[in-house]
Order: sequence, then C-alpha cells, then structure tokens
Amino acid sequence: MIELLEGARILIASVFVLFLPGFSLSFALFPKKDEIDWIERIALSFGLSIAIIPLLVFYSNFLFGIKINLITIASIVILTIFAGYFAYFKRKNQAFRSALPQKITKKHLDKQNIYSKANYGG
Amino acid sequence: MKTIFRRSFFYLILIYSLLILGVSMDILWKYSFKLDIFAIIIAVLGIFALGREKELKFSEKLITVLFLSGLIFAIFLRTLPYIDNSVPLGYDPGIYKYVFEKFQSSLPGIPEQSLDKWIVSGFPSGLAVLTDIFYLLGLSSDQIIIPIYILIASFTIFPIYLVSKKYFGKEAGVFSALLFSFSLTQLNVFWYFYYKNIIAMSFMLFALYFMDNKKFLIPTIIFAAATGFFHQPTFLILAAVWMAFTLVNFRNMELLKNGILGIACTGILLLIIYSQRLSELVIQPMESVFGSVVTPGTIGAGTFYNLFTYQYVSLVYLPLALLGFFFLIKTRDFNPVFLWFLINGIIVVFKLLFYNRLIINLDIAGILLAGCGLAYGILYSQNLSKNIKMGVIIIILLTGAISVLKLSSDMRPLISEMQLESVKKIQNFTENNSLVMATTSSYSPWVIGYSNRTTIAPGLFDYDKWSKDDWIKFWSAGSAAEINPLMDVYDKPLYVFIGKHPSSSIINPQKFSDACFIKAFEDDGGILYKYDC
Repeated sequence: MIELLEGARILIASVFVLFLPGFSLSFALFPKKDEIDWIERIALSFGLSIAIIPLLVFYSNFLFGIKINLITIASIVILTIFAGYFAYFKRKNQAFRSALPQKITKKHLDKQNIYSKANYGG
Repeated sequence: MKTIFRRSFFYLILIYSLLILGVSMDILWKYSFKLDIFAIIIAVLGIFALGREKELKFSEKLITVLFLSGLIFAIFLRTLPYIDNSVPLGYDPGIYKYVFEKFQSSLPGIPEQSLDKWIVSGFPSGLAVLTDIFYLLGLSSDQIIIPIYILIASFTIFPIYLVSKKYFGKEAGVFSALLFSFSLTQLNVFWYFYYKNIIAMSFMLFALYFMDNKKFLIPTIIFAAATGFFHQPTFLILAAVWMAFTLVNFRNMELLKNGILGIACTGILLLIIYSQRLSELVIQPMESVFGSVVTPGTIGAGTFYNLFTYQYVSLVYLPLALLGFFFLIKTRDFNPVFLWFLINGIIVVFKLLFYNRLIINLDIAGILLAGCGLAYGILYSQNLSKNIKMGVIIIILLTGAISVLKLSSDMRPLISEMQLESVKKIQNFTENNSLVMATTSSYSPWVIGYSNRTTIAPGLFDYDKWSKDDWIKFWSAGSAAEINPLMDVYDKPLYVFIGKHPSSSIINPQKFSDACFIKAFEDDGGILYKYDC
C-alpha cells in the first residue's frame, strides 16, 4: 500500500514538473485548439517542460545562488505555468482585437443600421 | 517512358521489401545481393512516381491508431530486454550512475567546482540537473537508469512525428513515427545507453520544428540552448543546420534576422552555462573540430558502428530516405530536415568528425525523409490502386517490425546479474577510503558506478597512473614481484577486482596466489583481492 502511494506521489509530481509547464506554454504558442493536434500538444508539453525547467533551475542556481530543492522547483514550475497562461490570454485578447474592425464609430454603426434597414425595406 | 519507370519502381520496391523480409527472417544473407546499390536504383526510379497531390489522406482516427501503435511498439521493444534481466544495457550505465549520484550528493548546489576532470571535459551538466529534479521528486538512480530511460528513449517518437508532419504532412509524420519505432539503429542507440544523445536529439527536433517560423524565435532559442546543455556534438549539427538554413534564406530578411539573432542568443546562453568549463568544453573541442575540418579524421570516429554497417542496418528505409531527399531537391524545398540530412551526410561520408557517432543523428534525419518518401513516393503516387499502395506500405512496415523485434529479443547486457552483484558487494569488504582497481575496461564503468569506491581503470577516469605498457605488464605478469613497483604507485588500502567476465581472461591469475594478494571475497561473479605488500 505504501509503495502504491509512493508510486502515485511520484507520478503526480512528475506530471506537475514534466508536463504542466509545457502544457501551459504550448497554449501560449498555439492558442487555438485546432492549430495543432493532440499528439503535437502532448509532445510540446513534455518537450517544453523537460527543456525549460532544468535550464531555469541551472540559471537560478548559477546566476542567483538559489538552492536546488523541492520548493525552488515547485516555485519555478508554478511561475512557468502562470507565465504560459498569461501569454495565452494576452495572445487570445490580441487575436480577438485584431479580428474586430480597426475603428468602430457611431457613424460606422449607424451606416450599417441604415443598410440593414434598406435591405429589409424598412 | 515515365510510366515504365514508375511501374518499375513499384515492382522493384516490392521485390526489394520481400528480399529484406527474407534477410530479417534469416532466410537470405544480407550480403548476397548488392542491396545498398539496389536501394539507390529504387530511389532514382521513384522520382518518376512522386505525386504532389495528397490523393489518399488518412483519417484522424487512423493517424491516432498508427501513432499509438508506434509508441507502444517502441516502448515494448525497449522493455523486452528487461523482462528477465535487471542489469542495465550497454557500457555506460555505471558512469551515468556515478555522475548522477555525484550531483545528487551536492544538492542543494551544482558541484561545478568539485567535479572529476573526466566529468568536466566530457559530461555537460544538463542531464545531471534533470536527474537532480527526478531525484528530488523521489526517483532513485536505478529508476532513472532503467524505466525513465525507456520512456525518454521511446518518447523521441513525439518530436519525430511533429517535425515530419510539419514539413511533409500528417501521413508522412505518422510514417516517420512508425519507421522510428522500427529503426535498428535507434534500438542500438538505446542499447549503447546514449542517454544525453537521445534527449538532445529530441530537443534538436523541437528546435527544427520552430526554426522556420519568425514567430517562434524564443522556443527555437530555448530548445537550441537545451540541446547544447545536454550534448555538444548534437548541438554542433543543430548549429550547422541553423546557419545553413539562415544562409539559404538570405533573401528573406525576417528569417535572416531571426537566424543571426537566434544563434547569437543561444551562444550567449551556452557561454553562461559553460563559463566554468570554457577550456574543457568549448575551446578545446572547437580547436579539435576546426583541426578535423582541415585534416579529416583527426578528431576520431566516436563509438558507434561505421557507415558500411549502417547501410545494411537501415536497408528497410534507405531507398525511401533517398527518395524523400530527391523529392525535396525536385521541389526545391530546402527545409531544415533537408539541410540536416545533407550536412550530417557530408560529415559521415567524408569522415570529418565523430563520423561514426553522428550516424545516430543521420539516421533520424533519414527516418524523417523516409516518411516523406513513403508518403509522396507511394501513398500520394498517381495511377495506382489504393489496395496496391497500402499493400506495399504494409510489407515495408512489416519488414521493419520483424527485423527490429528480432534484435530486441537478442539484446543482452554486457555483464550478468551475478557479476553486477559481485561489484555491488565490493563496498561491504573495503574501507571507505580504499582504491579499487577495475582490471579490464569491461568492468570500469560498473565498478565506478556500483562500488561507491574510488576506481582505478585502464585509460579511464582521473586515478589511473599507469601507461598502456604498464597495464599490459600487469595483465601478463605471473608473480607479484614483477608488478610490485607498479602497485606501489598507488596509495593504500588498494584492492584489485577480477570479474568472471570473458574479458578477464587476459589477466594471468598466477600472481594472485602470492602472499601480497589477500582474497577479500570470491563469489560466482568475481574475486576481490587486497594488495598488501
């Protein structure tokens, strides 16, 4: 039973460190769901996590003397996840804004209203 | 005329695949026919069969099923050697275990200052930092060396699919993924325990995936830096491909700017990583690389089989890889995969540097191109019924699966479980400060990794004070008196381990009956003597 719990702990921790940071970053890179398929999403989640987390751990230790322990790793992972989702929402907002007409003025809307009335004979 | 060539291509590739099937089932001898020449002829004829329109497309469901089959098969092949065995495969696991534990014991820091010289000059910190994370999550070195290694080696299939899909389409992506799982070379890489190389290869593939898009400069830099952090020869190839791709696209200002900026940023990131090992890991290797370009062959081949052997090992997809290469030339699509195959091919064929070791990278580039060749040469080919196309593809894939399955079931570790147990026992019979001599190179990595004692090994690590002639004298000596001056070079307590592996037969055992050698223990795996004179 203890071995099973230990195994589950390792599995959950591994997913947290080696999958979730990349998963959030993959949405920052490809915000639309249909931009990439699920295989690509999984691949990027593992790949980005395994590339970024050791690099960040190394730089934080080497440049700032931050100790390598579970708390540091958890902090780096959480920061990466938030950075990914922040970038995702930023990109999504940008995409939404760029989809709107450049200037929506009252005049513009009135004009559209007139045309639609004309079409319906109103 | 074109129709004749096209039909000849299909008949010949069918005959070729059946011959390979015969070879893989040991019905035919692989050197009976000039199969490598046959492969080239098929690839040339295949140019006339190339289709551009994606006439036959796989459904999402089929792609998922095929990809998952490839992934499960890759994991199965790498697990098979461990079904009745717990000894890690290959020559290097002991070395990796030693390095991992050296780093783990230095936590919460990174032991850059206190590392052995041989680690500083040959072992970038990337993998050790990653394994520090695994360790903190609760995994032991043994788990990192067997189950995690199996998963990481199998997961290379993901970036392979990614890159092949991006540059050649979904069908090519899934073909490349399947061909990876059938690759004898990649399975051999797994056996050799090239851990750093395997991870760096995945990072390189991710970097190539992002390289051609100006929007993705940051992920390209991250993956390129990660490649350099884990394995330098792989980074060397990536850097060469990146530079070539930037030069090829010199008219595209965005790509040119991105290329220059990306390479510069990656260089800075790696300089920070290697700042404490500049001489060992950057300056000395760069001198060797430039020297090797001027005088080919000076840097050494690296440990792996040579090009001649590789041709016969990769017969299943050799014509398809060449066909994919010709397709890209025909369509003038000089993408990063094309440049990788070209640059890596030149290095291997002209024996510039690490030309045997870099066959591993060439094989991955070949697999990507083979996916392209299979898709455009057969699946999208015109004037051929769907059934015939699928039949040819199934025969090719089946041939690959049979040969690789045979190799996997024949894979054995270098030493037996008893011999490894014997090495593990050394620490129970020796003092903490003792030196243990691993008398043959077959045992050196095991003794350093599993004995927890300072290891003296022929031509390896930091503690060997003997020349090659000294070792020959030690092996052949019949009495202790002949080697006493040699043994006195080392501090005491000093132990000599003789494993019961065939490689130990070069040692003359008579000298150990002398009073200077006291038997500390003997079991079915080996004998440990204490030298006390």
